[in-house]
Amino acid sequence: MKKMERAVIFDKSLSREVLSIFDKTTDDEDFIVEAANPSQKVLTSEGEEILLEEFAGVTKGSELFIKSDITSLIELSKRKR
Amino acid sequence: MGLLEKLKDIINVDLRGAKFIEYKKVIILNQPEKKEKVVLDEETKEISFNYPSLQKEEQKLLTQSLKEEFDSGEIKEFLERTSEERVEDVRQKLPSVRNQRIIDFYKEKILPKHLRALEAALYVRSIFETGSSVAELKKEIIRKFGEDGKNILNLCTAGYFEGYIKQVYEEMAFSDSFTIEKFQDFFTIITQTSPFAIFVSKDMSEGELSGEVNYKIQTHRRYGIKFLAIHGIGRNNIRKIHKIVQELEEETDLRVMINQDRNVIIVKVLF
Repeated sequence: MKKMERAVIFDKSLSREVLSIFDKTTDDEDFIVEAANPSQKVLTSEGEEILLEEFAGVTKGSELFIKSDITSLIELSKRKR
Repeated sequence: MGLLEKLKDIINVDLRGAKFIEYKKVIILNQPEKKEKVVLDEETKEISFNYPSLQKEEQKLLTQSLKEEFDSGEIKEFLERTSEERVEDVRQKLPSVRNQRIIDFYKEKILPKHLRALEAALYVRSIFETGSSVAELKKEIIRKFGEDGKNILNLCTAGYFEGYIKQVYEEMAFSDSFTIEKFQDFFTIITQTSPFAIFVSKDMSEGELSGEVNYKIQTHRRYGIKFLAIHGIGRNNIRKIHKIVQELEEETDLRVMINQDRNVIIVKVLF
């Protein structure tokens, strides 16, 4: 039987709490960075830096960080089809 | 041990029987005004946690459990609520027969960046046609793809991808010397300059519109293009276009066709 895959949906105001689950935080400019190495910015699979405001979530593929712009969300929707 | 079993130990709430629910979503809410820690919805298969209601230790154990489930593959994603709603909306609107036909036609013919912009433009058009605002989405596309994105949006809304651009491909493909790169070059020019159409915006003055129309007509004549389309939406833009049409109709070697449906106008200038 196929294993059920679940999703966690969170309120935007809890973005920092979700980031901390993945050992991430934000720097002075509000870019998402590695908590253990704040000079290391987290990148999307397209190599883009992510502002906290733009953070849409994390998906499998080890850990893929997603931006909330429409083209990123279209790509995500294709993976879910 | 599944998440629910772990949660029974973590959070001091009665979850008896809950392990039989095949839950699909874990929702983490931020509702400080509410006291309830957990709500189980058997119908929608959702478990909602109100994060501020949990004790610090409970918050820590919850996030640890969720991370373990993510690492083991039981949880496939963490998604912010409005982004999740957007993804669901995209999944419903983008694969419509009409959109899919256009995507299938262009997907092996244009550059990947143009295809991504076209998909986004088709989604925006689907929303626009329901009467909802698309201003923010358009800004996102223009931020990502620049002038290409702006022109693809405009051309898509005006139906050029199922019309003129497709016809050009079909014409070009007849030629013995046709290569896909030649069509991609044509497509790049189209998306960079939108040469055969003017989309009148509220920021464009009558003088600017007149200059743009005359410049494009001259350029088109030089390159053997036989028409120019002028598109406008809204009362003010329609008024500006009618004024230009009056000027154009005074020129004897031009033919002007007006197609107006309430708040939308398309003027085709043939020469």
